[in-house]
Amino acid sequence: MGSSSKDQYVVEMKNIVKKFPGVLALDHVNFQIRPGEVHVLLGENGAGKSTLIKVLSGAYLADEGEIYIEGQKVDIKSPHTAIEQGLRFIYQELSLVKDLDIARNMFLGMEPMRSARLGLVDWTKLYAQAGELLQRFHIDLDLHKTVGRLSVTQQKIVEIARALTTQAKLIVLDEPTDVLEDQSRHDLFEVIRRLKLEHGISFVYISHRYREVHEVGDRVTILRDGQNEGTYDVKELDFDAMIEHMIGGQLKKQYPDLTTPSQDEALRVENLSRKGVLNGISLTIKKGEILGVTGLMGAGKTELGRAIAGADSLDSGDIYVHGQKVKCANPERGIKNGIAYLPEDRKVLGLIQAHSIRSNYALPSLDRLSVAGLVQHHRLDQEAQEYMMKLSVKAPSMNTYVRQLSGGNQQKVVVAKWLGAHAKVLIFDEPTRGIDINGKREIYRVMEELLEQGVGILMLTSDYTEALEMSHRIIVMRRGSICKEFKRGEPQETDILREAIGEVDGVKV
Amino acid sequence: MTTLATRFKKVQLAPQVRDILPPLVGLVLITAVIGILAPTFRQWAAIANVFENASILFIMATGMTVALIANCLDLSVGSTYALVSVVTGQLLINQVPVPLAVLGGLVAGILCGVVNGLIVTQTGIPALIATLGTQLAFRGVANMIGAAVDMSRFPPEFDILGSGTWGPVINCIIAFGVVWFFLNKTKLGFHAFAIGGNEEVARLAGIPVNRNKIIYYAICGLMAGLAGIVYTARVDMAAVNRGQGMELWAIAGVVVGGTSLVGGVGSVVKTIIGVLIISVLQAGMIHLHVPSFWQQVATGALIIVAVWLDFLQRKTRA
Ligand SMILES: Nc1ncnc2c1ncn2[C@@H]1O[C@H](COP(=O)(O)OP(=O)(O)OP(=O)(O)O)[C@@H](O)[C@H]1O
Ligand SMILES: [Mg+2]
Repeated sequence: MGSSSKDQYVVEMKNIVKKFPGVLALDHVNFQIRPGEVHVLLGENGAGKSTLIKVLSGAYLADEGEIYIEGQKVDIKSPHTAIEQGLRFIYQELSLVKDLDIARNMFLGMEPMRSARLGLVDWTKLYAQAGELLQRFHIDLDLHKTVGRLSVTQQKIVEIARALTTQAKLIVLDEPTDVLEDQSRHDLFEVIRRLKLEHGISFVYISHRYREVHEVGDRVTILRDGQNEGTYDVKELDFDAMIEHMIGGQLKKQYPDLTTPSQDEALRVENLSRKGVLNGISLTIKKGEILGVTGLMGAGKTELGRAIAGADSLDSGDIYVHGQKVKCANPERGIKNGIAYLPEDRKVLGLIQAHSIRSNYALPSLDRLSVAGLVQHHRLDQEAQEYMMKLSVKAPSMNTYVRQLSGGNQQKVVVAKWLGAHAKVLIFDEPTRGIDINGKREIYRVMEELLEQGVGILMLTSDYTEALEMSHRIIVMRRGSICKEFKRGEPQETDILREAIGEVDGVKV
Repeated sequence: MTTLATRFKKVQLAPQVRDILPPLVGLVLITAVIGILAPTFRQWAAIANVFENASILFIMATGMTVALIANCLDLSVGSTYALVSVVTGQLLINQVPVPLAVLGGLVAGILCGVVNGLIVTQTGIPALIATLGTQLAFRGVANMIGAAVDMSRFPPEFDILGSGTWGPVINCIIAFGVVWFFLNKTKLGFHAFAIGGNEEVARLAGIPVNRNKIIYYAICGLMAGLAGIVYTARVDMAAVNRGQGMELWAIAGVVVGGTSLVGGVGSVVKTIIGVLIISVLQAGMIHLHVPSFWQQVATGALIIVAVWLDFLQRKTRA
């Protein structure tokens, strides 16, 4: 109906079909984006959100369907075409070249030229512009630093800053805030608003942080199992209705009630120090207890988890598991000692992309599942199957390659893998990041089960709600030290934030 | 205190210098050790000889630097070297004017590279296998053109390209200049780093990866060809059996200098040092009367150590 009228849509996708072996990822999806709007794309893990935008970006070729850009039919054969058309993308997976420095990454493929005819790059201008773009996010990074040396969060900001140019018609952000903390999210929304109002740029915004929908969105499209479930004005759709459309039913209770932990200790850490990142951290976790650790980016949460698990070396400090002093020189020793760590950067650290769900699951459990050096395959199959069901991993079978899973489903596999390790202490680093609403509930339920088995859980999270709802006690970290401990039910989100920032005045919430 | 601090900052501000420091120190150490142990190595003639031997390898290695940065392994350059040598020889003995004959040879080198690039990008065969195949094929073509023909006694205007110390050195400077400019100033050159660093990311950034790879292979072929021409001029003879195994020496020079074997990092300045290390080592072992099979073992070990260092570095970077 509307494809001929030029002004109505910046981009219109019509009847898009995309099949993968065994999966119909997109089933005749129609999707329209108006000029100057922020269009939120919602759906559970594996609903087809990333696939839809990859079809638009030319990363995938659609099996059927048409794409119109400002009313003109366009055949998007490669990412090159999409970029030429003024479309910009931030993918769910980090897509930077680790060997290149920050500025060069930001202008990759769009370098300012000194002479277009001779193909000469204007490096001076490139570095100057890169600096300006980063400024908007209030972070101060050396533009010559190679991206591989940055933290995941910093890398994400570089990627975001890179896509947010005024030269675009449409900017697509696939779970950009996934790894961001509050201040950076705030900056991001500010920039989006400015680009939208001052330059009339449209946005597609994908996120599992459902509260953001009302914060930035104008309209919402909900995908379910590869179909467009409907497009709504954000104002017409309240939170509950939105979730119902998304999961196709009523939302069940999100957080389980936590039971009282036992008196025996699962983990005790004394005076843990690592120069420049951790200063004399001491803490205990009882069997059946969740200790939530929160704080801003760079506060040292991940470093704490890695140090306890043996992934990083320590300058000083002692670790006791079930009262026994242990030495974890490397993660392998950590697992032997009963400490398992679920890393935050799961794409890189968590999974072997070219292997199946089943073999990824097996990795830390092989010892347990072997008799006389032979793997008991039927037990492995059974367990892998069980965890896939428990965490509702969406995949044709457990022999599906991990790289074929949607982002959120990959994360569920990482969680399953470490649950299989049967650890005495589990360290969850951002356990539900990028996981949909049902998946979150499943993970919380599994945590509850673990507690019943007497496991102690250290939960490192930047999601304050999660910290409040899912921990017996909460520790707030700042610059490598513990600055405050709260009991369950004691603090509000604002109290935590105030502690995390470390100043009483001028706190924005 | 502050002046000291700013001074340290200044030292840190030149990453180009910091990067080439390890191979440079290695070169100085190796040269010093050989110089102390072998008195004959200390003469000017011996040093000039090192430079002359290094120069032809270096020309080839400049092209290899571009290819390896973009993660485009090329094992066929030794054969390209021979093929270009006989193509130029044929043209010269058929009275084609020198500039045209040289141009013809260079075009043949470029074509070899384009063939490699087309095979790798269009079929998806791993570069290792594809260029191993063309290594044989190019050698075969060279044999077809030049096996039974005596190609020597070329015009002096041609021989000047490779004679004395200056002929090769000027060609080296040209090759270095072209590649340095390409890698540091042009968009195509910059994209070589991106493609070598992460091909998928480069593709998603809208870079025409396949087209670019063909260009990188072409440059690699071009420089292998130039090396072949300089060598032909130097010995005043074209022969089909030249350059066997030379690809490994070229790769060794590039990698020992500090360019990554798997792409993404590198520079042609590093290649100068790498090629010098290889050449000093080769010459040094001759001066020290090391048996030739031990020379091979030593060079092999050097390559492995260099690649190992590269992997260690990547690990700490990630
Ligand atoms: N390269 C691929 N090969 C095979 N199947 C794939 C591939 N990419 C995606 N799929 C499948 O297509 C479906 C949709 O995946 P998609 O990545 O679009 O989900 P999503 O909505 O982005 O989910 P998430 O919120 O977890 O990121 C999933 O079932 C997934 O397993
Ligand atoms: Mg996705």
